[in-house]
Amino acid sequence: MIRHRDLRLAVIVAVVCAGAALLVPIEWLSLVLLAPLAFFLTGHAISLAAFVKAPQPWPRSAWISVALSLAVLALLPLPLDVLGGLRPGTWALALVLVVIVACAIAAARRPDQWSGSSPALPRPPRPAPLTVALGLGALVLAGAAIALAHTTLSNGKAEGFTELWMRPGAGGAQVTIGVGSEEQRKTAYVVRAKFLGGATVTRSLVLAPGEVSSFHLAVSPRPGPGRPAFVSVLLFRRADLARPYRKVYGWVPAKAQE
Amino acid sequence: MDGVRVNRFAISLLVAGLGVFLCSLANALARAGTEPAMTVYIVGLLTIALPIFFRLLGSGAGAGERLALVCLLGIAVYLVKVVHDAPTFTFTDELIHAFNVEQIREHAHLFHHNPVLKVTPYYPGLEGATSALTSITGLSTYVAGTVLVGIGRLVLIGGLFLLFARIGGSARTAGLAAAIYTTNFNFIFWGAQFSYESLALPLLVIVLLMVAERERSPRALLGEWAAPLVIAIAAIVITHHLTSYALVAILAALSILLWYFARNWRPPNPWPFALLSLILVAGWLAVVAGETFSYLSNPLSEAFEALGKTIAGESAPRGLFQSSGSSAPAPIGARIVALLGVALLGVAWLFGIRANWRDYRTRPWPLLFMVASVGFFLALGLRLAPAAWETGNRASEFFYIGLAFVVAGAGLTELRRPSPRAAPWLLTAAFGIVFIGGAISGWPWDGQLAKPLRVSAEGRTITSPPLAVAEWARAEDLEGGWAAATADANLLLVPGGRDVTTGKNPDVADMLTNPSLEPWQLRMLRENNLRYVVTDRREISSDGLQGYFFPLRGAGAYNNLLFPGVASKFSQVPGAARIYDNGLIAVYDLGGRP
Repeated sequence: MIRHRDLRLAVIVAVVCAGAALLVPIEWLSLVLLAPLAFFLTGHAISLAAFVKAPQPWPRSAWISVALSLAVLALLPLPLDVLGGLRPGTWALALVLVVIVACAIAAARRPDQWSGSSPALPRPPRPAPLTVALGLGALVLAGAAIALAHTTLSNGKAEGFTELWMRPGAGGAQVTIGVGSEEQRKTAYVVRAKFLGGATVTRSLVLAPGEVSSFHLAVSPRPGPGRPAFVSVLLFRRADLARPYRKVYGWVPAKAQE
Repeated sequence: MDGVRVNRFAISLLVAGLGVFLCSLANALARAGTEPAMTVYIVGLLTIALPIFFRLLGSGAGAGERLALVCLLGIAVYLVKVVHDAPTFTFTDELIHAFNVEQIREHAHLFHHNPVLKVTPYYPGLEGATSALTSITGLSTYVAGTVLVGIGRLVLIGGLFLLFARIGGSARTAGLAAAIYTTNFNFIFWGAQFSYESLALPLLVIVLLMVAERERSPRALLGEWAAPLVIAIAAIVITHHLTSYALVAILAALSILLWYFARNWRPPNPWPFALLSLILVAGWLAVVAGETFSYLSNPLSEAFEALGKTIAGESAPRGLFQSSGSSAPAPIGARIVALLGVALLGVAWLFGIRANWRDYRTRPWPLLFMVASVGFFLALGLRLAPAAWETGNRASEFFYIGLAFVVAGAGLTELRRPSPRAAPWLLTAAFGIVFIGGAISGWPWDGQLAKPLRVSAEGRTITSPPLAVAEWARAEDLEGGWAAATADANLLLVPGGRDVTTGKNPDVADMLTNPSLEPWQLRMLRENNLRYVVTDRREISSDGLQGYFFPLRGAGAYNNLLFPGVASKFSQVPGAARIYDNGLIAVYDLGGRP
């Protein structure tokens, strides 16, 4: 393998790509570094091992290499599932091993007098400045399209709403009540919690759109063994205190699950 | 390539970029509830497709430019799907497969249970491949899946070009055929989603390409194709059931056709690969994916039964342009375009089949394509039977490969004749109608454009009711089984991360739409260990495509509500707690009383 420059290069690039992708903490940069290995090199190495006597011409070779890389990505989880699991290290190692093994097979299959190399790629065009400008314009438009798709927009027709939830607090002494506003504008609320056979507790709060508030209330009377406390919670909008807006209820055990 | 050609391609690139931007703008307008989103969207689609097709029709482009053009078309149309719903998966199957990726990520192993679509973990090709990207790079499943399917799209469209070029012997035929393939009903959305077929279909096309190339190889070199073919076939088998069955059928048909013309089974007849495919498919079914039998046999038998009843007049045919849960059928203009598109395909097919029969009837591949093109029109019939619609829709992706080749032959025959100077323009216009018609036929009209999942309000972000429930469920991390309507369940999978049951088996769907509490419902919940019940007043909650979004004022049937009893009935269950309420959706904890 060492005497074949293309195979040597494939292995070196595979090792560098895998190592760099693992080490770089920036996700998109890690993907850029991994992409040549994951989407091309593994399939390319298999092609080099398979097509020794008649290397495939461009562009067929490229398509077969990318497709075989996808096939390798689909198949590798089966052995990885048995050998160490699908973890970053095992994945990177497995991808590199595929390249090394395939290149070793290619080297072994090549005859001694083998002097060929990978099929010649088409000469890269030398684009005119106008061509470059048009290409960049297309990239900018595609980038703008994706950025726009990621932009959250306002929509006056979307009906806002408010969430109310409750859960027993740890230890059975309290209940946690949460209010989340998904309303279109800042809203004032009143929360009224009534403990069966006990007190009624009232809280007021104002939430901006997307804001969440949760608070704990002490359970009164305290629940005992086999005698959970029942609490019902009503949420009102301050603008309409006559009509409950949301309602939850439930039981608080003597010792709630942590 | 000379400078002029490069410039022409660069112009196509720029125009396609503009088309993608217009589609993104249309989706943004739709998310903001502003008109005229649909008009902008259709203009965007045509801006992408028409200039490329027009250039492919001409004789001026070289093979390299034609390949680049079809790749540009494939990727630009894929971006139309990406800008539809970024940065979140919103198609039913996407959320199911994304859950499988999350499971692999969490456990570092395959084959973890998927409560919504139980068969999917047994075909881990796509999810396993995605996990490579998510685990090494730390990217989200959405980004990794979108990149992976994008690469798959490139392989698919370029692979089709190379396959058609090999079979037809002409880059011009190949370019046109690959472009025509993008008019198939499922190309824009269904085939572009993060789902196992989106990886398996490109691999199938590459297998066909390799088999076609192998046929032309000298006898001494045939063996070189074995390893790549075995790897690709194995990957298809573990990635998608239907594609692997299609692979077996295609390779078997091809082997028989080659035998018919050569009268022997000697190489390069691909029967060993057909047999290998069959053995691998059978082995995978027997050892790993036994559940696939029941998963596929039920809908298939229902489909044929429904078709029989429709033909016999025992049940009413399905109205065209109706999806199972869509709130609004396509308007009359859109229906006309879609029907006109199919009619144009039919006319082109008549010309194409005649031309293909004349030129290629002694060659196995074109014959196979001709048979597939007939299959496409037969599958159209399935769309008239309610329970067979989905089967017919899915089959079209495979049959369309043959149809595209046959129809491209018709287009070229027309151009080679002494024809009016307007012929390329007329053919491009016809392509535009078929392209838009395919988009309309393949996806619900009111799902073509995005709906608001998140909305900006006073500078902050608010989320839709079902997404809010899912995010709450993830934050609360409540252990136990959940029961929910389809859309709620899918979001409870991802991002909710819950073990959620939905659909008809067990019959959660009927329980959640029935306003009265009946003993069988409680029995079913108990037997299936379903502790948390998510009630949803929205009729659209059972729609796995459209049930994820904000209710919109003035949206008519989209806002239809079920009877209040569907939610309030659970308060009658002794010891039940109502632990979450957002107005439309409530969560009951039936094991609430300790």
